[in-house]
Amino acid sequence: MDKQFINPPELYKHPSYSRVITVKGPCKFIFIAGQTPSDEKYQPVCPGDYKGQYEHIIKMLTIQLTAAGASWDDVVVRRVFTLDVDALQKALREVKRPENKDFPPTSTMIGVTRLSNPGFLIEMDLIAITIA
Amino acid sequence: MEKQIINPPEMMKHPSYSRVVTVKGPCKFIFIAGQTPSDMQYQPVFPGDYKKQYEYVMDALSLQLKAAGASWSDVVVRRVYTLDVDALIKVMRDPTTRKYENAEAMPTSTMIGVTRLTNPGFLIEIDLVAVTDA
Repeated sequence: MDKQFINPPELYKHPSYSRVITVKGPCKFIFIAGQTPSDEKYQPVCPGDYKGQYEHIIKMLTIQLTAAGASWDDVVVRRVFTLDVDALQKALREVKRPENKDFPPTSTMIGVTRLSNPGFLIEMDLIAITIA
Repeated sequence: MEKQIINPPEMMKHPSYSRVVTVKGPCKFIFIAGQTPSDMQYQPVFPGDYKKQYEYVMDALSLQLKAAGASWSDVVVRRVYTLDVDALIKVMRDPTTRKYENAEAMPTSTMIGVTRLTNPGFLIEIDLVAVTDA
């Protein structure tokens, strides 16, 4: 598998995502469902706490990447949905992020009105690609 | 193509989606545009009715999967956008609502509450990614 990260010089180089990622050759695609800050009973953890909910989501996504034989370095698409973009961005500056700093995934962040439980402040889904 | 569905034991097993789906080997990717509850003039069908709009959207998606040589068992990503998450969840759980996905091979899923879709009468939009053998 041949993987390329492209940040065209004509565009601002964003510190927390890559502009373009390409992969070719035999590979395994890993699709991970939108992860919410939910416990074993699907109830919200860390109510009202963006940082706590973010850290819980990352822990759960890490379990799933590992189960599929992948790591955060293999993530090519990250989609983040949140009730409050500003609050999440503030929390993101205070936490340790799991992505590879030099080769982060592509990313889309969206402010939404609701997730599947009113106590969920953040949801994140991923696509990762590894060698087949 | 080799497909694996993974629900890590550390996490709650959700009844309506799979946590992780992986595919490798020669395969065909099928991308289906966000389907809205729209008629041949792109106008909303069944105004205000979540159940009927949901079934209409899912029927239209079934048609498109079939046209691409795929079925609901091949869907790996399902993204659901809706004006009212609670109303839609109620409809999806309603035993009288038609069932589409294969309970043994649920796709991954993300559900999002939004303020508007392309027509104010659209209550639901769903897009899909499916993967079959090449």
